[in-house]
Amino acid sequence: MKGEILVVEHVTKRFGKHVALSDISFSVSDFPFGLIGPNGAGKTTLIKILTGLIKRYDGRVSILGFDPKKDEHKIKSKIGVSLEKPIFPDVNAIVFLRFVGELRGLDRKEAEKEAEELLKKVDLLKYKNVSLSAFSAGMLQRFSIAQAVIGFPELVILDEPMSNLDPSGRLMLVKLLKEIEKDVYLFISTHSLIDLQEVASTVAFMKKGKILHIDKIERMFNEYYTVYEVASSAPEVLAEVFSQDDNVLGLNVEGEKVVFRVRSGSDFINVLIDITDRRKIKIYDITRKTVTLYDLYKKYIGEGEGEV
Amino acid sequence: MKFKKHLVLFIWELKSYLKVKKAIPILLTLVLFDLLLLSRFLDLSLFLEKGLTRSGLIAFAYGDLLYVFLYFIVPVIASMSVAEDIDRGMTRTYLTLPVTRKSYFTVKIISDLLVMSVCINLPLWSAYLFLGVFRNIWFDVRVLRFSISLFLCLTVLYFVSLLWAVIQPYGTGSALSAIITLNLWYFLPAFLFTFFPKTADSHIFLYSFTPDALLNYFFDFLYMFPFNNVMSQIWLEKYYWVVRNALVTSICVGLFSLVAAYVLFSRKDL
Repeated sequence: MKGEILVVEHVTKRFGKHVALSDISFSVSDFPFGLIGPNGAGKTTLIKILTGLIKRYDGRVSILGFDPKKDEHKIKSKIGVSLEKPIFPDVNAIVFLRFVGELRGLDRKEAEKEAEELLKKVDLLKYKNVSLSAFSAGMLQRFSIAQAVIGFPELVILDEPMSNLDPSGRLMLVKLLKEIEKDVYLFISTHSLIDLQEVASTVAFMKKGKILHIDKIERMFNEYYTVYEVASSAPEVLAEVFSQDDNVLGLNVEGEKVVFRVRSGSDFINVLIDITDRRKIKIYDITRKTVTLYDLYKKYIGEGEGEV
Repeated sequence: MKFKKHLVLFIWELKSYLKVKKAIPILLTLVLFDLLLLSRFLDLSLFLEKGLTRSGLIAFAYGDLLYVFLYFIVPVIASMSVAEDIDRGMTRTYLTLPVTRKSYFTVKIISDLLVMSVCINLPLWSAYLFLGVFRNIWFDVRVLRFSISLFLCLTVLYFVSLLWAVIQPYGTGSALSAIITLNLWYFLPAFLFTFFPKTADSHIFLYSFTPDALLNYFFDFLYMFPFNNVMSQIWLEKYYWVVRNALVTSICVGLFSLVAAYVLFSRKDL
């Protein structure tokens, strides 16, 4: 989906002396959008600003053309939010979902119908008349997604939607997110990079209150180095030859295997064929490692920075 | 659209009072209030007939005990709607829904006060009408003034509880803190009377600012219970009040512990 949906300009947020967000600026037009960063990066603070939960900050924010400070009512009608560790009142699932639907302008029958459909999608329909106080953490997480989506909001903001979910729950959620992203703008903040990679179109890396990098995920993958593992009869020779090659960013010899990090995969393969041909080196195996968001995380955030 | 949202939120709030957890203490409050009023009217009959007797004073002690219980349980229970939300972190959930901060708090507080008003007025008027029919009195403007005064007084206490919730958010138990604060307010003079009787005269000034005394000023002002002037009784029956306050204190501590336990166990974050 296209359009100037989210604009953040020079936003700074301090909690006493602690600077949670430090003069961040970015805009997002390609959704689904993923926000990645270690704990304490400022992701939740940013989400609280976007959703109007935090109103005192420096800078300017625009969501769907509205300012959360001035147009709280208009923005809240257009966005659905699922926060980390959701808490709900002790009422039956269908009752609360219907209530949220009615607040978003659906009439009672419409709200009831949509609530049931959403509960079915998050695999909670059989618990529709069960009190939310009896729900497990995973069930609450799935329910939280349903309440964020009910009533057709334009933008859905999800903070850690994958937390507390088992593998099947995550698969179900990824499927649901892929389905709803056709109709809504999705903003996802998560540590679950594998799942985010399945859904997101644009990602931003955040650390210590700053946006380090933001781009389309495809473009970042294309610009990123490729890893090749080559098992051969002469690993030392290959290492020596390729150490002079500008296309090779780095290499390690691990027994009969050499691990190459290269800029261009096709150039590397051409040179490799040429060298092994000329020097009569036998190639036993070549493996190309797929680049993941985790690799990009290591590149922009660094290893050992928070939990992933 | 905006009006419809407020209406949906308002109906949701009123419905939430009917949930079992809230209905029990509210019903308890209504029953206790009825008992309180009956005991007051019985006190009236007793004194009119026999003057100041020991049994009459004990009846007063129990009547005051019920008063004290109600002073705190009504505003605390009523304020739970907002204070409980803040305590449990649920305010955050509500504020992510299509409801503005202003709408949320306005609707919550109005519905809280409405429920509190029902808690006060329903038993008051039912007891009054019951006794009124019995005595062939249909309406007395003093009762109306009394209910309004009581409502205003409890509204102040409600906002004290709410203030606790706002200044002590996240897990410190605002409703519980409010109960403790209000308890201290009431019990400090009683404690001083009980354990330092020799300096009782100096504590009377302190006692005159407790909710018990303040409400009695209302009663005196309204001439509804002219014989129940706490201040004059303190002067006249100084040593009786020492014993009486000790009794009230010990029983009230037990009762408030029950209220505190209720608040504590109804919280999910502990």
